[in-house]
Amino acid sequence: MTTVDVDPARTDPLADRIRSLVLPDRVHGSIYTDPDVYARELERIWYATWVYVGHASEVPEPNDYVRKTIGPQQVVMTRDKTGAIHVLHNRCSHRGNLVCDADRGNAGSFRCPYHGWTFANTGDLLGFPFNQGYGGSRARAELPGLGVVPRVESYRGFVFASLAVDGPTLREHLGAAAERLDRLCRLSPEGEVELTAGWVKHEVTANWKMLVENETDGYHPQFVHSSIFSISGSGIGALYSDKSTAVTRALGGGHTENDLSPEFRRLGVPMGWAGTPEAKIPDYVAAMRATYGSETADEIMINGSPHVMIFPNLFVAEIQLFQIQPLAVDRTVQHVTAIQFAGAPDLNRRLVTQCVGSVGPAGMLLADDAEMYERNQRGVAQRQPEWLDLTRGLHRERVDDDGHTIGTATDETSMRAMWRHYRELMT
Amino acid sequence: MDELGVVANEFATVSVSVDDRGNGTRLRLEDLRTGTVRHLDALELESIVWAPESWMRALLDPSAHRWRDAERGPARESLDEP
Amino acid sequence: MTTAVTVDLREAEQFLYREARLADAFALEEWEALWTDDAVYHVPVDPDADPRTHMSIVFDNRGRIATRIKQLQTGRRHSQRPPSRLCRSVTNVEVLGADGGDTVVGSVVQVLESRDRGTTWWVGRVTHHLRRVDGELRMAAKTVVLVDADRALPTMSFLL
Repeated sequence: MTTVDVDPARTDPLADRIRSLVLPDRVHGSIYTDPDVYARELERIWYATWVYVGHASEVPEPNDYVRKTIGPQQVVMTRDKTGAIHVLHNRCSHRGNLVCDADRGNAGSFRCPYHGWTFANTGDLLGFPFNQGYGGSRARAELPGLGVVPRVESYRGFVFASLAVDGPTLREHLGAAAERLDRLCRLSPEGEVELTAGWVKHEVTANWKMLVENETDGYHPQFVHSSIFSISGSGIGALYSDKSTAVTRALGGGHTENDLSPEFRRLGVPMGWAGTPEAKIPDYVAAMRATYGSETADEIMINGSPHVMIFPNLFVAEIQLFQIQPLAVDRTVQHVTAIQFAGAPDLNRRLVTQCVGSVGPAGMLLADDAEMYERNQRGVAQRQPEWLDLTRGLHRERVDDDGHTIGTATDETSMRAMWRHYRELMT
Repeated sequence: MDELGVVANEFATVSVSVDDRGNGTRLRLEDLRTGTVRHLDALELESIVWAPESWMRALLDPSAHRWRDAERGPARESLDEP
Repeated sequence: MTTAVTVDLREAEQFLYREARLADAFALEEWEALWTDDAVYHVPVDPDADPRTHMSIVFDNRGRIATRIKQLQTGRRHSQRPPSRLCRSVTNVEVLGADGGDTVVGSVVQVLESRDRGTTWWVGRVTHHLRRVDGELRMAAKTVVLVDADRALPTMSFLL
């Protein structure tokens, strides 16, 4: 009898395949279309790493709850009586029924409509009807409650969850991306973001990674959005050109950004990044100066808001926030809301109006992005030439003072960084 | 009698009013899904405010009251003692 | 606020049918000319929410309606390249009352949209505020409450 030394990695043909499909300078089309790859993404990424779930401002009061998602998983984000936030699987521990129906509400306990099993908003089983059928009330201690997502942490009100019991802390996961959320929050005179404007949900027939890549692709805006840039006099197009001083940056952990702040600083206009003259938002500007002092306030208002993709599903694009939700290998929902800054009602109204014009199924920007994701998904199903090129700007990449890889505004530095991280997680 | 409002979520719907038909005021709670009514006087309300959390949790067990007895079944739901 | 209804059912129906035909055919200038100068075009997510503080699918003032049309006219609005093939029916037309000088008209719209991605069926309740301007009927407001407005919707970049 012969014994063979088994290298654990060699017994994983899918990992071998993924290693051969995701290369430093190209990816294979099937990485977007293969159901086996998607199934592994759920296990290795969506149900293992930190995933953005919601914002604390969506459950402001004790016992508030909202329905949320972790990829295809239906969860409920609750705030209990003590103020702690929980993420629960929306599934009765008795027969598996969905327990919560409403998108949002206030309830200290949830009662399943099927047989009346009742759970606290921490997940604990509180009881069930006719308990003699289980030998009395003592059975309660032995029967399970709602599934509780084991790890929930928040940063600046952004609530993330991980279905894995162990792993890096949220702070470790966010790394340099955390500072981008700080930068966002500093735009509020109270230092806080509020997500109170409700959501538009835009479904696309495309793999979720198409969206992640596009979010910090500085190469596409001049083409995909030329229709709106050419008639609105928008300066956004110029930010994404070879003349731009903006950079594309890999933040580590698959997180990426288009850092437009060098351009905003060059222009030097407070709120220039938002296309909103100071004169139109005097209360906001006054509140910012009162909080931070004139000089710092101007600096914050000139530097503007981040454009950062926090892997795998949180995209902050200056004035709007997107949450990416895969439903199947070729179906993805993009949830989007206008960012609202605490203590800035005059600015907030303008942000809602601007955001509604840009995003969602009819948005003057996002409808065209969505068209590209869908065309891309149909395209990669074609057999030749098999590979997608990722080499743009590879020769001119450099490392910045913080040790991050950067490229010019239109370089594919962000995609290469995303894929490098993806490959690590998947194999 | 002044209806203060309806407290509702996806799990229950209860009308709340202050009933002043007696010699003093009472809180009147009506489960609008069944029409079942309970009055609470001031001392009862104060006691609820001071009741420990475990007492409230016990109250939420369906077998503690309304669905305590399979033989009686939903047709005999009531506030009667068992 | 006056409450005189100044548009009768037949005239309202004719207006709605014409608007539907122009939108289906991407007769952009003619469709745009149907709006008053203070027009509001609204496709809400939640019809009870204040569109100034809450997200909508579309919430256009007159200026933004013009921008939307101009974007389509560039020929580079990719989500309408090629344009969707559309056929819509307008039914259940009722004169609901008056709001100031406007006549409020309710209807149901069903649109079949055909694109390379597939066929989408859009259905909603529509409220028009119709006003006579220089003898011509115009729309001062149009609100379309889609049946599935609060669900995830595919791209909808034609004129609903």
